[in-house]
Amino acid sequence: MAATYLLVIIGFLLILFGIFYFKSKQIKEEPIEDVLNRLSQEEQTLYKMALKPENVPNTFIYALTTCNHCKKTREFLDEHNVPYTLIYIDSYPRELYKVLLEKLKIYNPRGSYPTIRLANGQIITGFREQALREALLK
Amino acid sequence: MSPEELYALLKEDEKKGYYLHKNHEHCMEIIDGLLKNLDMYGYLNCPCRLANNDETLDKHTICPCAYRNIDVKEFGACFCHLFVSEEHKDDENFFPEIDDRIHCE
Repeated sequence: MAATYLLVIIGFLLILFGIFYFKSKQIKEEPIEDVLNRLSQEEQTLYKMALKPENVPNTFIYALTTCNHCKKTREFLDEHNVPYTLIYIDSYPRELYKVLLEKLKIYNPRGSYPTIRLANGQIITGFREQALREALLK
Repeated sequence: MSPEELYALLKEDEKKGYYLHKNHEHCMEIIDGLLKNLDMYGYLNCPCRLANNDETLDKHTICPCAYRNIDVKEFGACFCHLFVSEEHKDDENFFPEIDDRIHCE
């Protein structure tokens, strides 16, 4: 009988320990505002622009630092002196890039890079030289 | 792993009919992106796609990605233009426009 009580108590303690252990392992997500406030003013401004690219007077580009299509797009626009604003999504903390990705997917459900929003609202995805020429160099 | 070592490793796939792009500078830029992702996430996530920092979640976009074979078959190159088909293996200027298949399934 005593052994049964002992086993029940040990079992109960193990469950308590398990709950405590897994709770302590849970990653608490920081509020977006706190994460944003840790960034530079320039990064914060760019992030806010990316959430409302319709307010940006020129072309807005969602890009990745590692993406060669994004690099080629930049080179093309620079070569033709086309003004643009660009955000590197992967240079932002995970909490923020998840928000940026949701916004990007409104314009490009595939979430591919670069996603280019022209001032007139037209969306071009990937590095498409001909489409960029027709839209921006007319 | 150095860029040259990764280049040599990926070149092994030429035996299977997937050739590294003739434009060496382009290849090395992609390889730099792959190595940056290896450093950041611990695996060779495709540099043209955003990684989730979770190898299981990103298993389809680890180079060579799950879409490479079908893209090479259909377009002659993979999404990043790192791999091309035998037909285009000597074309330094072969950069077809390819839509990412990742969210098309």
